[in-house]
Amino acid sequence: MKRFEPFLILRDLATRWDVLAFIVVIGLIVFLGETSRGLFAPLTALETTPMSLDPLHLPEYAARTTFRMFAALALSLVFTLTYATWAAKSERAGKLLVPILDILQSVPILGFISVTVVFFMSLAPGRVLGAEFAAIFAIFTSQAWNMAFSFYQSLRTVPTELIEAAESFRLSPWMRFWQLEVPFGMPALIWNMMMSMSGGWFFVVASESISVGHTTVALPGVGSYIALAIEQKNLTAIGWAIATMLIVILAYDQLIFRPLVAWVDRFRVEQEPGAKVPDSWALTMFRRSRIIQAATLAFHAAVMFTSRAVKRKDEPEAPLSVKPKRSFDWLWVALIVAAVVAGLWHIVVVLIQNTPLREALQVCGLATLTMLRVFILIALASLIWVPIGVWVGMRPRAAQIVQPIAQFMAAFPANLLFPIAVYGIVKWKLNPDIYLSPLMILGTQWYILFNVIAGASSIPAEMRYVAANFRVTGWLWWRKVALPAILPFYVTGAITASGGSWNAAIVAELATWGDTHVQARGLGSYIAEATTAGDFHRIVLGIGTMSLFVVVINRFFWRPLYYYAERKYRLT
Amino acid sequence: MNTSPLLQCTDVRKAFPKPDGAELLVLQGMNLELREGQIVGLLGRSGSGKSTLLRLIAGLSEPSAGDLQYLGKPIAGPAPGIAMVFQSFALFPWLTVFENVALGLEAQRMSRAEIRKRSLAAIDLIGLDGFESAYPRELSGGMRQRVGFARALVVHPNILLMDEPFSALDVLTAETLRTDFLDLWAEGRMPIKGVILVTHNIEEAVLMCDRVLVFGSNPGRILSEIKVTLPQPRNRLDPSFRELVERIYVEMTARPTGGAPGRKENFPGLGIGSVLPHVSSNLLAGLMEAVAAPPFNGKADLPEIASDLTMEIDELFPVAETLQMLRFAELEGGDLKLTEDGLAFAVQKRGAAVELRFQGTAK
Repeated sequence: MKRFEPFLILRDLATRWDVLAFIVVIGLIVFLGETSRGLFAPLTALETTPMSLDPLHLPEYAARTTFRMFAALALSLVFTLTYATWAAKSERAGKLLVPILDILQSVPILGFISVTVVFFMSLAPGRVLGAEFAAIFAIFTSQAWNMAFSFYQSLRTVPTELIEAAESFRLSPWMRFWQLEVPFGMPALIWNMMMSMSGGWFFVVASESISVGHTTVALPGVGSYIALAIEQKNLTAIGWAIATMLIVILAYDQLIFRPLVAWVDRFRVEQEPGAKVPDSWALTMFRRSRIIQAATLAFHAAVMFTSRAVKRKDEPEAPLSVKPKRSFDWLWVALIVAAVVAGLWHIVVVLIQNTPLREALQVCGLATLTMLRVFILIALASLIWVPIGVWVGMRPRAAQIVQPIAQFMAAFPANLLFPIAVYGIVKWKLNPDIYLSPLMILGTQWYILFNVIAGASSIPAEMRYVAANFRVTGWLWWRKVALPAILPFYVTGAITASGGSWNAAIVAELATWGDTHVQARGLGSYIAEATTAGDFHRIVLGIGTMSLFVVVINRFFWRPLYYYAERKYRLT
Repeated sequence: MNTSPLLQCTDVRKAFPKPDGAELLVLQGMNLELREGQIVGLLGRSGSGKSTLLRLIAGLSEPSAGDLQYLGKPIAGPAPGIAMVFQSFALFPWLTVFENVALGLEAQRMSRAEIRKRSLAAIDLIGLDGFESAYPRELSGGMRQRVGFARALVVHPNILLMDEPFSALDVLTAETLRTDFLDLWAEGRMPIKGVILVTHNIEEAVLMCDRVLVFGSNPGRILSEIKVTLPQPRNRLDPSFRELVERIYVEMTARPTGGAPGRKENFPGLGIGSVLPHVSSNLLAGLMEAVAAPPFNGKADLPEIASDLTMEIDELFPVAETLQMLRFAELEGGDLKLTEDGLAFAVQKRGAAVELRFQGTAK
């Protein structure tokens, strides 16, 4: 029998790790309290304390923005654990939920804002909370879908032996979820959370400084600060904002994601021997701190308690093969049909009736223009980054330096640099149709780079020896060795870059600097214009078209290419 | 026969820089000569630098000191007449068998018709006829290594380098491939003039080579050279074959006579600076039990126990040496003999196991 020891957990309270952890935790609590205080203030409070470009306010703004990001992340996590689980567990639901997720993923993020802001404002009329909801929801839409997708995929690929082990021990579904499925899906989920965060930052300006038609709200935050700086043509303020973002991204990378990535490494089922174990000073701090340990113990206790509370499977009463209930199936089909009919009716009545054919054709033309831009940019970025990525990837030391930089660049919201570009375009009277385009890929090209680096560094040494031994050099080497080896990685990077560029089109094709508007012809600027004008029909038409284009391109171009590359070129 | 050697290595030394600035010496005082019509085996366990030497000969890395000459000319980078077969096959999964084989010829900018003719001939020779358009992943391990051979032979190299080419294959497949290779070699149907074979399998070395260079580790160097004059095809059960295998075992477990200053190959005691092998305690206990049990009864002939336990010398030697270091066993003359402590340990352990079993039934 173990003797009860009071203070066992807190015996060495004052290790230096505890001090650090204490500061971090209390800081977090204060931060939460401070930032959420303004939530219930009436909207007019925003007008009495207008935004200021004084850099002294930036820490507060940054805190508020970060708070929104993490609130959205928490929501996304809840959404992921429920939606993805439902889709994976129920055959019936999955048939509908997975395609829905796929479509949602292709809807441009800014589209959600313009459509939903009115709804959220009406939830808490006259209060800041409504606008906050809208902003958080916008960020949520930039994070949730791919997280849910990754978790769904993990749930579907849990190794059969582990499932069988769980079944033979008759774990309750609840226990199985927390002891097997969540841990198994963790590594991929954390990775996707990191990617999602980067995506969220990109839309921080648009989500905080909301203006749809007559509704204009500027929530205090870095995004609104940037919007104001653009309006007032204050380049110094932009510089301050960039510096702030650098610090914020570095901070959450070190404090949140590095430790998570290092921690989650234990959940990897396939451990490659010799693979480098990720390391994080912050994780060391959390692990060595007794306070944090006590907190995790509490969480552990909660899991244990609920595991016991939920009844586990008794002896199988029915034979193993349960016949599907026919009546329920019919009900389900009827429900889907009803939903589809309702959706169709809305589309027909609201959209098609109010859209002249000429407008529809024009939108399709604009979408084609944007598509052309995206493909040309991906091609150009590939021409630049593939050779560089291969060069770096073949040199482990260079890769060690370049890889984190590329990942950081991908996380950095490139639209902060837009004002500088607009300034240049206006000054030298450049053609915006051409010179605004690179902005679309500014933030997403890095996905190509770091995927290619990863691909090149995964070429086995013996294969390089073969090439050297048979003196395969020059173009032959690129054609037969390097390019095929990196292809699966490259395609993954290009898919991400392409999706990101479509999203960025709305921001990049219509850029503003004070009262100067620079516009490129394309679907992005069409949506942006419609949003400013508050023209609901055109917004929906534009967003619908963009989603359609993205879905079609994904289904008929990227996905076949991806599977082809995986099948033929994956080194195993 | 041509008297000038195909390959000549003189006083080759190779060291890698360590992160702390010091250097890691992996090869020292390496002298090697390959003459036409010979198969030379480099035999040693992992870490003895034999693969490093092979890479130096292939021109894939540069020696820190010493001289490597191919046909009387110094080797600077991959030479056209030296081709290599790899342990892991190293085939390109996106190229078909034909394309994999043709790659080396394409690099030589040969005409399309010539490439086709020579590639098909090589594929045919190595027994892959009909598999030209298959992808490597569709082939078994043995077939894949055949592609590896065809790819090396198609460039008509003077020297064929083989880096443990059979060790990734199962026993039967490896044996078939070895015999096929030796047949082609004996009949002179391969366009090669000399072979260097890296292996850690003693029987393989005796079966295939005309000369075997036994490597020692820390740093890698040649301990001795053994000539194999048995006529081909050789029979593993032939007494003179067994005798040679036994002799190499003795050679490899011999206490150092000289060696590198400051380093000790075997560990009669634990000298400062000896590199400790990674050995699991399960293996230590297991080997002691196996040697203590009949038919060995405390003293085992290394080749016998190696084949009994199906352990390669690569696995067996570190365990045996650690036992010696712990003074649980003596390693001499190709025999492993348990000390009194070792025997006591084995008996105790068996006793404990019996007791456990007894308790189990009592419950």
